[in-house]
Amino acid sequence: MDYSKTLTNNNKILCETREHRYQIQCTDDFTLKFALSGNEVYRLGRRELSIYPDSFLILNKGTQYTSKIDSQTPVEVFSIAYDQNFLNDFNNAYANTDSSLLDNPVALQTDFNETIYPFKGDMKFNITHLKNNIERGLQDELLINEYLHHSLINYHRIYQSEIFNKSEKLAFTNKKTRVEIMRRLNSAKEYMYTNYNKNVLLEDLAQHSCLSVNHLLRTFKQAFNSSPHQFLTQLRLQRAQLLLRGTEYSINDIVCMVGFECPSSFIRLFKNKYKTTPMKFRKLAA
Amino acid sequence: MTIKYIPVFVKNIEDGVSFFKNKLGCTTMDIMILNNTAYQLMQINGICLALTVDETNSGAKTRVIFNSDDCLKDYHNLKSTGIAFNTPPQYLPIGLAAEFNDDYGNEYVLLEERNYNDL
Repeated sequence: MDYSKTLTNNNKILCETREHRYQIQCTDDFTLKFALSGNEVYRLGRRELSIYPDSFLILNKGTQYTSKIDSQTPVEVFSIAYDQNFLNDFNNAYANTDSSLLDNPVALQTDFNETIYPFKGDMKFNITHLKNNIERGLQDELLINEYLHHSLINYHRIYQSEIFNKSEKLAFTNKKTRVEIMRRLNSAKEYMYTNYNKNVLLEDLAQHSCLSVNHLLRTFKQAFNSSPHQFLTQLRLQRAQLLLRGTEYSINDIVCMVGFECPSSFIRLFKNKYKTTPMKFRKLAA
Repeated sequence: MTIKYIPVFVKNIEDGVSFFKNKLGCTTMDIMILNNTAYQLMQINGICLALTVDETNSGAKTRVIFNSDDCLKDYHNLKSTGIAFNTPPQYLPIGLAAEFNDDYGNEYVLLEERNYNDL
């Protein structure tokens, strides 16, 4: 269902399903972007960021970007743009309370890393409820804003666990160095999120993130508790799960689509991680 | 054996019925007498609450946990009927929950359990 909703307080919600689309845009407000089925590719300067149903992207106010959907199957995209006053009220009501300042040192931050974040947990529950309710005809703006407020709470928590806590794990005493290394590690992560289905070489990954291979391996492990290779394998398995659950592609097709080289190693890794075989998982999910 | 009625202690049956009917959307059922105590039965989504007056003034309280499919929506709807929540919905390891009280000190939790292991 396609709709574009602008609330009285100027928060905007957009949902559309397309197979082909190319846009050049500039964000008016802080925006969350989701691809609820299929994928959409964003280009921010030289960076290419591809989002899938297990990830989302944030764009700060005033970011120029292009977005592209080019798919044989319909891609459903959903986005929320927050009015600046709503964000200020959120910061005053939620982030500036003493307890949340103690719990949440990123509370006062207003400019966030424009990168790909995992779409799961409370954020996923709340966005799904919001979307379902709008599609059932919800008009009550107070309730819609309640969902939007909670999505911001969820985003703050994701930011804290994905960026802040991980950068704190880096073994550099200088904060500026930690922030810069984290930015580069995020671009390595983005590269894997976007190119997970291709043959990702460590040298390319290091070059993309402006780190030497050794430096990348060491700092990536410090921040994410796994090597880039382990991270990529987990991502491929996760995307394979999405395909097993949401499509009818054969296991062999899925193996190729998520970038594994042979079905036997895919099945072994899948079994190790999820304690079940891909076929059994598909049957259970049906 | 299954649970049949959940007793809720109130100071006055009439006020209790008004709270459960007008604010929580329960339907009024029969009055049941058990061991000389009267219980006003109220039903909500197949579960029966039994309102009764605490004759002994023992200060007995009840804590009822309501299941919610969408805590934010139910929180918003209940707030608009005039229920004052103790806290806004809080994120817990089990899901999302908000708490409120009635005028008799009974506690209610609106709980949306969330399976975080799912994709």
